[in-house]
Amino acid sequence: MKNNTKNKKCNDGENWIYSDEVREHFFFPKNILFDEKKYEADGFGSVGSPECGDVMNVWIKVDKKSGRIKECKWRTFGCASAIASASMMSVMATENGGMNLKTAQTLKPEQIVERLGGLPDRKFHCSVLGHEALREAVIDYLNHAK
Amino acid sequence: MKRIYLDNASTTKIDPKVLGVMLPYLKEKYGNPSSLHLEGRVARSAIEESREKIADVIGAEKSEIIFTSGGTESDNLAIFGIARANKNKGKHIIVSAIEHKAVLDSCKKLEKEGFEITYLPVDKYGIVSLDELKKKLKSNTILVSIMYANNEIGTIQPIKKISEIIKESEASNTIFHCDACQAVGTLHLNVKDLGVDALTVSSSKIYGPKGVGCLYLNKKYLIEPIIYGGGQEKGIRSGTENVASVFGFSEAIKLAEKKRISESKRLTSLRNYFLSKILKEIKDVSINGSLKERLPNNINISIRGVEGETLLLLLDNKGISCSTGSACSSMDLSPSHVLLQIGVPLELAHCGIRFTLGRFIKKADIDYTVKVLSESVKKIRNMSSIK
Amino acid sequence: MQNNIREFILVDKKVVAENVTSLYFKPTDGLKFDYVPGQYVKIKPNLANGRGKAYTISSISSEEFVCITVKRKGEVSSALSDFKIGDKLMFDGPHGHFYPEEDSKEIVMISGGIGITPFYSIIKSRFESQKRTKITLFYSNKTFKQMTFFEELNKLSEINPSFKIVYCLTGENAKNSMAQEYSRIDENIIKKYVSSLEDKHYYVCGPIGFVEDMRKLLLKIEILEVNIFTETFY
Repeated sequence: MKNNTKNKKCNDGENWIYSDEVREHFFFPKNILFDEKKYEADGFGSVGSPECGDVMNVWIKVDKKSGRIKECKWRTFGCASAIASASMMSVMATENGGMNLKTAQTLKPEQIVERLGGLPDRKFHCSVLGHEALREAVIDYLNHAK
Repeated sequence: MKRIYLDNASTTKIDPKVLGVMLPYLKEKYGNPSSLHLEGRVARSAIEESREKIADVIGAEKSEIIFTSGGTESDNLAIFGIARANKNKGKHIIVSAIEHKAVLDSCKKLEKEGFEITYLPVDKYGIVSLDELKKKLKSNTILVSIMYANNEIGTIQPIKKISEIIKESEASNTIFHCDACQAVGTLHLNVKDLGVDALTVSSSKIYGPKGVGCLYLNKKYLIEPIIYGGGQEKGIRSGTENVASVFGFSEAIKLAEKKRISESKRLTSLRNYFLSKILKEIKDVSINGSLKERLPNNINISIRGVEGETLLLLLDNKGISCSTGSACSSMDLSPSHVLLQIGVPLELAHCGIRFTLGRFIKKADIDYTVKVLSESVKKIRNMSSIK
Repeated sequence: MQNNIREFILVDKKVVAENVTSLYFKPTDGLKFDYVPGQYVKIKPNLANGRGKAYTISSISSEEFVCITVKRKGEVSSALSDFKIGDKLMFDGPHGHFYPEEDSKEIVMISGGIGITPFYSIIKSRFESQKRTKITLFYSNKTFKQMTFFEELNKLSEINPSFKIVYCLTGENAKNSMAQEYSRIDENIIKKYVSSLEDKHYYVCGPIGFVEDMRKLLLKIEILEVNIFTETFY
C-alpha cells in the first residue's frame, strides 16, 4: 500500500486537491450500473437523500457457494468524492475473488479513504456513504436469504 | 489547453491596459502617499487622481470616496461603520435576505451588539419585497442595505424605487447603502440617479487588480472606522494605501464605464444565445432567477440529477471554468443561501451551476462550452441515482 | 435506511465537562423510543440544510430520558448547547451499528475526546445485562477538564472489576495524578495494558484524525482489520 503521508489530506479552508486515485475513480469510475431494469441483484442498498446532495445506490450479486461478493454495481448522485468513494468501494468489494459478507458489512470508511489516497476532512462523509451503502446491500441480501 | 473562463462574477482577468498603468507604481513610483518627499508626493498624486476618476464615473464628489481592500471590506465598513456612528438615532437595520455574506454576517454580528436586523424576503426571481420594506421602515431605522445585482443569480433590484420608498417613509433619514460590486460596468451607476447614500465597488470584478475597492458615502453622513492606525482616508480607513492597485482600479472603472453600453448589449446577446442552446441540447434544466431583471452576463441553472461540483470538475477538466452553489462544493457544506431564499428545492440547489460571461469571451467559446456541457451532463446522468 | 423522524422536547441539561453539555430529551408523542447502545440520531435544530448532524446517544434504554452529550464546536453544536428547557427539535433515528455483536471476545475501546459517548452507553448497557467479558477502555483527552463522564466511568469501574480504564492526558504533565498516562496513545501504551492482542475486538471512536491514527496504530501492531471497528465523528 502506498505511503500517503505527503499531501494525503487537505487542510480545511484550502481548495480540494485530487489524489491520483480519486482522480482516476472520478474520471473513470468503475462498476457503474447503466441499466437498472435488466440487472438481477441479490441485494440492494440505498443511502443518502437528494436533499442532502448525496444518494448512493448499490447492487450486489453474491456467490451462494463461497458466500463472496462477485459483483458490486452502483449509481450515485453526489460530488466527486462521493463518486470516487462509490467506485473504490465497489472495487474493494469485488477484488481478489470478492469480499465475504462479514468483511463487506464491516468495511470501514477509513479503509476507503486510505485506498483513495486521502480525502479532505469535509469530504469524509462520502466514504461513510460508501460503507453504509455496501452494508445495506449485504443486510438486504441476508434478509432475503432467510 | 485553452481555458474558457466563465466565472467572471467571482473575479476577472486584469485588462492589459490596467496592468500597464499600474506597473510604474510597482516599480519606480513606490513612495508612501503620506510622505512629504518627492516619492511620497508622486504617490499621493496618483491616489488623488484615482479618487477623482472614480468619483466622476459614479457621479460623486472626490471627498466621498474611501479606498478599501475590496468589496468585503467596503461592505463591512458600511454596515459596522454606519450602524455604530448612527446608533443614537436608532438601532434598526434592513437588508435583503440574499445579500452577500459580507453584509449578512456583519449584520449577524451587529445583532449580538443589540441591533435589530430585518431580513427582507425575496420572490422566486430574487426581487426584494417592496411591500415588506414599506412595512418594516420605522422611525428608528438607520440603515438599509440592498445589493444592486446579485452575484449568484444576477437579479437586478429596483434600487431607484427602493430609494423613493425610503424617502417617502417615516424613516426618511435612513442611510441607503447599495453593494454594487456586480453591477459596475453593466448597469447605470450614478449615485444621484439611483438615490443611494453609500455604494460598495470592487476592483476585482471589473478587470482591475484584486485587493482594492472603495466605499462611496454621501458627505452628509457619519461613519465610524473599523480599522485604526495612521489616519489615512481622513481617519476612516487607516493603512498605507495600495497605490498601484488603487490606480489600476481607477483605470479599470473608467474603462468599464466607457465600454458599458456596448458590452451590456454584446453580453446580453451572447448570454441569450448560450441559454437557448443549453435549453435545446439538455432536458430538465430550470433557470434560477429572473429572465428579465438579470445581469447581462449571468446564467444560473439547475440540471436535474447532476450535482454541481461533479459537473464543475468535468468542465474544468476540459478547460471550462464556472461555479456552483451545491453544498458539497462549499467549505461549510451548506448549499447556496440565495437559491434557498428564492425557493429552489434543496435537491435542485445541489444541481446549481453558474456561468458568468466576460469581456474576453467569444461566440466560439460558447459553442464549445455547450458541446462539453452536453457531453458531461450525459456522462453524469448515466451514473446518477436520481432520474 | 428508514427515516424515522419524531419530535423531542428538552427536559433537562447539565454541563458535564469543559464545553460539553448533556441534553436530556423525551418524545412529545409519548411513545417509547427504542435504540441500541452506541447508536446515534440525526438532528436539525433549524432546517437550513438538508443534512442533519449526527449525535451519539449517551444514555441507555432503561434510563428515563434520551440523552445526547454535545461538545460545543461549530454552529449546530453551539445551538444545541444553548437549548433551553422546553425547546423542541426533530430526531431522525436511531441509526448506526457501532456496538459489539459478539459477546465472547474481550473488548478494547479506544476513545478520543467526545468519542466517549457511544462507549459510555455500551458499557452501562453491558453491565446492566450482566455481561462479564473484559473491557479495557483507553480514554484520551487533552486536559483533565475536558474529560467527560470521569466520575461516572470510575464508579462503573469500581463496581465491575472486568472493566479497566486507562486515562491518557496529552496536554498536561504528570503532576496532575488523575491519569495513568501523559502522552498520546501509542504502541507501548496499548501493549502495557492489553495482553495477547490478537484475540480481541477493538472499537475506536473520535474525530477523523484520531480514528485514522488509531486504526493505523492497531494495524501496525498486527491487529487484523476484521477485528477493528470504527465510529468517526465528523
